Amino acid sequence: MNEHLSALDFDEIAAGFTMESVREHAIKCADCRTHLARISANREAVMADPRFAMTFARLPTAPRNRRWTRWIAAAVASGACVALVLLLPNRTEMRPKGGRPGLTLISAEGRPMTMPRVGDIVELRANQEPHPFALIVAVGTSPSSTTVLWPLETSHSGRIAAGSYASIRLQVTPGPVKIVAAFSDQPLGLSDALPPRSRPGVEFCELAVKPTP
Amino acid sequence: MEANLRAPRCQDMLKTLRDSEIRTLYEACAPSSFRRARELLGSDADAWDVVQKVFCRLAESDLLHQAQARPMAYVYRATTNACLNELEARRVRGRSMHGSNDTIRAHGEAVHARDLLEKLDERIDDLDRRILVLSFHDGLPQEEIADVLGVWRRTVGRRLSRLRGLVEELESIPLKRTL
Repeated sequence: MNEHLSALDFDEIAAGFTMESVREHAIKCADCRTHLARISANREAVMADPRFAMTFARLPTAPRNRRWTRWIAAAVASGACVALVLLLPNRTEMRPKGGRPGLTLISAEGRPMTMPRVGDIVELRANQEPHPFALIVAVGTSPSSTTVLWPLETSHSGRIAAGSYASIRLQVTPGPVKIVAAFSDQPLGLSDALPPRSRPGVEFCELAVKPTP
Repeated sequence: MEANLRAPRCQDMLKTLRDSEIRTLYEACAPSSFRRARELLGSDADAWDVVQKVFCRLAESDLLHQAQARPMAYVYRATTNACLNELEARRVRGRSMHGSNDTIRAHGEAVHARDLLEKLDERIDDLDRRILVLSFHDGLPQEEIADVLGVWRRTVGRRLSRLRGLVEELESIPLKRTL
């Protein structure tokens, strides 16, 4: 390893997470050793701050029993890609013609695809034209569930720059799933992507995914 | 009867395991989450709020499995998202994205990233913002940005090229490139 370590590497070393080769570099490289010492000192100062313990004490101690949601989310995410095949069997691309918003499934090789298989890692792209705001969710039916796929870690829409598209990387897992993308000229909330999907000014694109084994 | 007794015991064990995992993750990753949040937001109080949000979400939901593959990458992503949400909320409230002047002087690179976020606001989308923070603020290489955000490396490369072009248009702002 010739290059210096990244910020992520330093944080992982300080947290005790990293690989031996990375740790060795941090020990041998003077610059990295200095930086690591600074990170470690900062880390100790943060942990000594009373707010460190107070923040932890405020965390919920009994997680909601929703372990099934991980399977639904995974099934939704992967299945969303495959449903394309069922809805548009003769098309390799989900994007409607004429500058309308749409969803496209891209293989690892960078080609539009319609038949993802379980285990495939695929990219789901959403083009926004002509609407700048989009919210993409995966919808499971049994049991009913909704998982926001894009933007990450939020429950409201994100803005896609003109001429660009939203991109999500998904791993295909067994089971059917439906992906719904809502597009609008105004910011959207999660409720806007839920049924009934007939809100004025909001355009929807759906993709049913049924992965093949 | 035996089954009825077994089920709750098993669940208790799972809860204990999850609580223990969350504690371990918190102790390992919360200092990094706080440091990045403070740099990006320029405020201790807001940074602790971000740490609270990141780990609350981890504790309340079933995201633990996501964090287990590469915990620090998950925490980087969640912290970045929470900080960008806070910056957006500040913008909506009519406040500047910047914190106090003292904090600005203390975290030059973060100010640089916030400057870019503010100046490029209308021209970039959410993914661009996350890439911008991880590249221009954290200086992560493209592979690690892709790892943190869960997108393809070539997507990161394409977005970064465009971002660099936009940044170069802002002539007065010095450019810090990702490796």
